[in-house]
Amino acid sequence: MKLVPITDEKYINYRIDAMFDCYKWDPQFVDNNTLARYVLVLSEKEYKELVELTEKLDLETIEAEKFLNNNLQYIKPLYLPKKLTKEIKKMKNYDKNKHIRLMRYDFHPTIDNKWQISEVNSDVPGGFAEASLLPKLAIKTLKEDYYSIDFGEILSNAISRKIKKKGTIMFVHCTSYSDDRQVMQYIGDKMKSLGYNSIYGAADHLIFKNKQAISILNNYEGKVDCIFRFTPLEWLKDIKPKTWSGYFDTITPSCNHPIAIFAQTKRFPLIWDILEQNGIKMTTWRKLLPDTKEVKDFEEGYIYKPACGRVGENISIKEACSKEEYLKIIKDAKKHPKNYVVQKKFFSKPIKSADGKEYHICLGSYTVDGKQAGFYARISKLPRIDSYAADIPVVIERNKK
Amino acid sequence: MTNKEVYKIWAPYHAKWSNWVRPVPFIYLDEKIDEFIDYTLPHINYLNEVLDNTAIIVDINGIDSIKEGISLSKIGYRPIPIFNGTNSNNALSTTNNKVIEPLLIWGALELQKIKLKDNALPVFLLDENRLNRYKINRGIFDNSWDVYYQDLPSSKYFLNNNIDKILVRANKINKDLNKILYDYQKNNLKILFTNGFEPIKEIKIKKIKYIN
Repeated sequence: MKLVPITDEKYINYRIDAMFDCYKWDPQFVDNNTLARYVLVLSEKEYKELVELTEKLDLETIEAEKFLNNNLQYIKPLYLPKKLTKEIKKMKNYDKNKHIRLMRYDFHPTIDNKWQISEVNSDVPGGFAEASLLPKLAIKTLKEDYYSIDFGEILSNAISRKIKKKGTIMFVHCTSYSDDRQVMQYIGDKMKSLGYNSIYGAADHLIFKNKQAISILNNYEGKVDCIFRFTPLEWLKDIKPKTWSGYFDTITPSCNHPIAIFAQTKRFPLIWDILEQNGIKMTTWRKLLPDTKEVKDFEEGYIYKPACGRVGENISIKEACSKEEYLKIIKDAKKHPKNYVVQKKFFSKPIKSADGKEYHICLGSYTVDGKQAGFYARISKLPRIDSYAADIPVVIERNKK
Repeated sequence: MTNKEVYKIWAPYHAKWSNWVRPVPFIYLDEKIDEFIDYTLPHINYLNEVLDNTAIIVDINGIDSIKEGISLSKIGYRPIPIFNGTNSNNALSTTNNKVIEPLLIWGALELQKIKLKDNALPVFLLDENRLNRYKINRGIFDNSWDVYYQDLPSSKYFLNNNIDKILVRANKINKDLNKILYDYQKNNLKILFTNGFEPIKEIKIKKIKYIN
C-alpha cells in the first residue's frame, strides 16, 4: 500500500473535476480540505486479501442478522432504541433475496502489520461517487497503469437484477443536507442512465399501503418499486406522523432493509457469545475487531465508542481529540453506559507518502449482496478518522510480470 | 462560461479563502434561466474601506447577498459564497435555491473586472431564505438548509490570520448562525453587527438552544 502524491499543478483541475464531475460537493470541512492530494495504491496481493476478509466478514454478518431476526429474545444486550425494538418485531417477512444488502467494513493497517476493523457501516454507508468516479479521475490525472473497482457499477447492476426495468426508485435522504444529496444524486443518476425513474425524497415522503411503499411527493404520487434509504434508522423514529414503521415490514425491495440495525450498533459484539452458542461463526469478526465490552468493564488501553456513532465521531482516542471533547465523551459514557461500548485500542500504522508525510488510513471495503464491491478511503494526520479526514481514491497496481 | 469557469472565478486557486466556496449552487448552473433581476449594485452604507482584522458575513436574501458581495469586493473584500441548498428536481419545494444561479454567473463577470489581492479579507455570503421550511403539505420537498460550523473557518484559523472581529450584516442574527457566532465569541472573536443602514456596533451573542 502506498500514497502517490498528485502534483500541485495537476491538483488544481483534479479538485475542480472531483467537485463537478465526481459529485464531491463537500470539499472543505472547517479548516480542512477534504480531498486528499494523494492516491492510495494497493498491490494486487493486498486487494485480494481484503476481498477475502471482507466477504468472510459479510457472510458472518448476514448469517448473524438472519439468526437474530428469527430469535429476537437475544437482542436485549444491543439496547436498541425502544421505538425501534417495537418495529423490529415486524421484520419476520424479510427475505434477503428480495432486497439489496449493502455494507462497508472499515479496515485499518496496524503497527503489527495486520488489518483491524473499526466497524461495519451496516445501515447507510456513503462515499459512493468517491468509490466509483474518483479513482477513475485519479488514474486519468496520474496517467499510470492502475485500475479500480467501480462500486457504482456493481451496486447499480445489483439493483437492476432485483428491480423491474423502468421502475421507480425513491432515494430517501435528509433533503436539507447537500452532503447526503451528493451520495443520492450519484446513484440516482446512475440508475436513471439505466432507464429507471429516480425520485428524491425524505423518509416521510413514503407511506405504506398493504405493505407497499407509495410516494406522496407532489411531483410523483404513486407506487415505488424500490426504496434506496440514506436516512439512518435511528433517525426515522423521531419522524412524526409515524408512517416510518412501514419501512420494517414493507414488501417493496429496499437498500438497505432495516435488518441492518443489528450489525449497525457498536454493541453488536456483545452478543457474539450467544450467536456462537447457536452455531453462528464469528471467527473473522473476532480476528479483526478489537475486543469489545460493556462500559462497566473499562480497563486501561480501551477507548469509549458510542453505540450509534457515525464517521468516527465521539470516540475517545486521547491523542486525536481535545481535552474538553475527551472529558465530555467519558462523562456521557458513564452517564449513559448502554449507549456506549469500550473497545481495546489498536495502534494505526501511518503510511509515509513519497513526499515524506505520514497519514493514518481508514480503508472502507464495500459488499453488495455478499460480494466485495470496491473501496472508499479517508486519510488523516491523526489516528482517528472523522469528518476532518480527507477522501482519497483507491486504485490497484497491476502485478508486474 | 461553463459552471467550472464560473466557479474558478469565484474561487481562484491561489486566493486565501477560496477553499470555503461551496460548489453546490455551481454544479447545475444553467445560463438559460430567464429571471428578471435588477443587477444594480447596492451602495455600502456601513463602511467605505476595508476594516482591519475584520471578516464579514452577509446574511440577507440570496440575490441581494451576492450583489452586496460584489459591492464589497469593489472596496477590497473577497466574496465567498457559502450557499449550500440543493434543487428539488421539479418538486414543489420550501426554498428556491436556484434563484441565485444567474447572480453567480453575473457576479463572475463582475469579479473579472475587479483586481483583488490573493489575501483579501473575506466576506462570506449567505441566503437568509435558507431557513424557509414551512410545508403547506407533506408532499413538499424540504430543501431548506442551515449553515453549520463546518461551513466556515474556525475561530483559531481566523485568529491565526489576524482576524479578531466578525461583522455580521443581516436583518437579524439567524438561529443557525447564532450558534456559530456564539462559539466564535467564546474563543475571543468580537462580533459586530449592522442591518446595512445603521452604524456598526459590537454585540454580545447569547447562547440559544437550536435544533433544526
